[in-house]
Amino acid sequence: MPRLRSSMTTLAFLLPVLALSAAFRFLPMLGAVGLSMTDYHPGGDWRFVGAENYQSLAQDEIFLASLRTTLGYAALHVPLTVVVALGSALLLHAVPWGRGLFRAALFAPYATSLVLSAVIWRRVLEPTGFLERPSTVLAALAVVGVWRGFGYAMLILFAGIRNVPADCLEAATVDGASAWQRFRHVLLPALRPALFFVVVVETVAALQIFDTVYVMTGGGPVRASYTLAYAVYDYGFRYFDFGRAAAAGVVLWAIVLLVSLGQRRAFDRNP
Amino acid sequence: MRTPVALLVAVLTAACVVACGNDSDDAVTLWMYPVIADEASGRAFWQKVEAGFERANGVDLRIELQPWASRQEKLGAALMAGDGPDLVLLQSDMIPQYVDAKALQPVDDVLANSARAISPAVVDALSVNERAYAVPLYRTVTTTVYNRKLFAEAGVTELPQTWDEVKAAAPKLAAHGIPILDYSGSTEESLNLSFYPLLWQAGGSVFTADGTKSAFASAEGVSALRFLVDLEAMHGLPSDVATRHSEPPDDAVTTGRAAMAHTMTADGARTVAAAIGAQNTAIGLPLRDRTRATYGTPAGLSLLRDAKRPDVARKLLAYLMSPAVVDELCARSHYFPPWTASSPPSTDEVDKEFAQALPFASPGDTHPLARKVMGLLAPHLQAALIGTTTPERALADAAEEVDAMLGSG
Repeated sequence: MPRLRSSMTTLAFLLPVLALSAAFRFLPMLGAVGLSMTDYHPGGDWRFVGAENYQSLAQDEIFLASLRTTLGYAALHVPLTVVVALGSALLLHAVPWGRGLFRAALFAPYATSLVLSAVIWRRVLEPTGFLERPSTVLAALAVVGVWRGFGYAMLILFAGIRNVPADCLEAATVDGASAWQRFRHVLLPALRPALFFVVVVETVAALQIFDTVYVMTGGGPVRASYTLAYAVYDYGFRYFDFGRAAAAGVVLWAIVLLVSLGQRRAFDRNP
Repeated sequence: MRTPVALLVAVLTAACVVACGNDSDDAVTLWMYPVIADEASGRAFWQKVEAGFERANGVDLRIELQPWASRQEKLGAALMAGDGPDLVLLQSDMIPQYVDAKALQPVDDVLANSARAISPAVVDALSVNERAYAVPLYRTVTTTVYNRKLFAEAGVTELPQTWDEVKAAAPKLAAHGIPILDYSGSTEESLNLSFYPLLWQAGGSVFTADGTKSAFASAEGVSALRFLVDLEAMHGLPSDVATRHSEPPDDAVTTGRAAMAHTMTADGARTVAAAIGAQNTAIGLPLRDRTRATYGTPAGLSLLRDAKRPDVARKLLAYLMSPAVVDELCARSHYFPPWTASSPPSTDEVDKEFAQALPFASPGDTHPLARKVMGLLAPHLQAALIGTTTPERALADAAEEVDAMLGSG
């Protein structure tokens, strides 16, 4: 009986959040799935078209190219962010003084307005021509993405490093392990949960890349930075094809879910 | 800024909230844009209009001044959320898309009672399937604006008026490090102000007459794109031409980094004159190849299908298209009135020069999918400007995509 009462109390405390999540998160998500199966006009008229929007996307070369571009961007953005964030976290851990100052400085880009920083980066990169060449534009965008995002990942990894028991590292040192061996066989396994979190968060962010593309390249040149999220924007808010936009959004959501689950399985596997 | 997926979800959320709520607000809402460039003058004018209509009709009118930026996206999101205005200002080339989206109501009845005769070309541009979907407020025109000093310094005494003359003068200006033509190839730019006027000057069009297929991959289209590619090869266009945005008032002519622009507005010309001096600024007729053509469009107020008080909104339309309101708006904005006998909006020299370009102005091919076609065509134009493909191949590839899209409805 007391246990039941405790459960009911917990539920009562959770109820407001659950109700808000249902109303403002899950209901609209279901709405988006429903919308993806319609031909919806902004005037309010709609008709049910079943999987027609999905079929049309599957045959749309521009959509498929945007999918490849998005995956290409993620393949650049995620490893770069993890490497830079991990390196920064290790350096921060090694700094004996002024750690708070360095941490704040490295975190600062994450706290700046994404649109503002994208505008400034555009001005910086324009003279270099990186944004004008299809072969370099994605890498340029990835650098901007890493610059902005690594501070957050660094904080997570820094907290993870600080949680690694000092006696493990000391024992490894006493056993004659080199710095690389201590990193590879002690620190890295201990950082697995933090790394998993960072990789998932950065992958989701990379797959949803929109803001920097919108401000810096408009999807160009020659669609070289035309990502999936940008296609959703184009379909919905430029061409008023909301059914198709919703279908592309659902595809993006499914990809994010699948990649996240895949990453979880990969990280759960024993080293 | 959120991702479009999040934006879509937010719109759906807003739609839920709007649907659940009980909207007791009975004000009539009009979305207006900075048609009058001078902010103080614009605000004073619209406040006067608002007060005048409210006094005469005893209703609450709300004129919301919106920015030009991302107007299509904002209006689409508002309509989707069921929270759009009753009336909105639209350019003629936008109207077919909104009619196709079943978002507008015809306004022939309001137009029929106009106190002054409206130019048939204006009415035609605002109509779809013989039904008018906007009452006209003004019409715009663009034309060629030159930096006379840069031409003189390069030893070009006659300002170029044809493509051949532009190509002949380009190397002389390039030798002084100045590209002759300011051109913006960013996919964010409207082709109405960049490539399409050149296409029309070459004698081409975007769509076939029945609108079922593209027509830009013609000899005329190739000629227009080759004109740009040739200029690029002789350093006659800005070095970042393929991706650059036009950013008035920091555009290349105003800042002395290009010698001429082929589709500048009267406001743009005034900004150029203020920056480089009126004596150095020349306003010419639109450029000519096979024909002389430029972009100019009527703009009008459209009545949304979901207007909360359509009866009052129609009264407001009638009030706003009255000669007193339209003439004052045109005088303040320097746009041309939509009347049959259209005189320049003011007596100043810039308006007089732009009046010369008016007969050559056209809103181009209006089509429900015109904006989508721009989105498909622009990246291929970029490819040609960057040099990764030829003008012929670029237009053929674009035509393939556009025709597939038009064919699929």
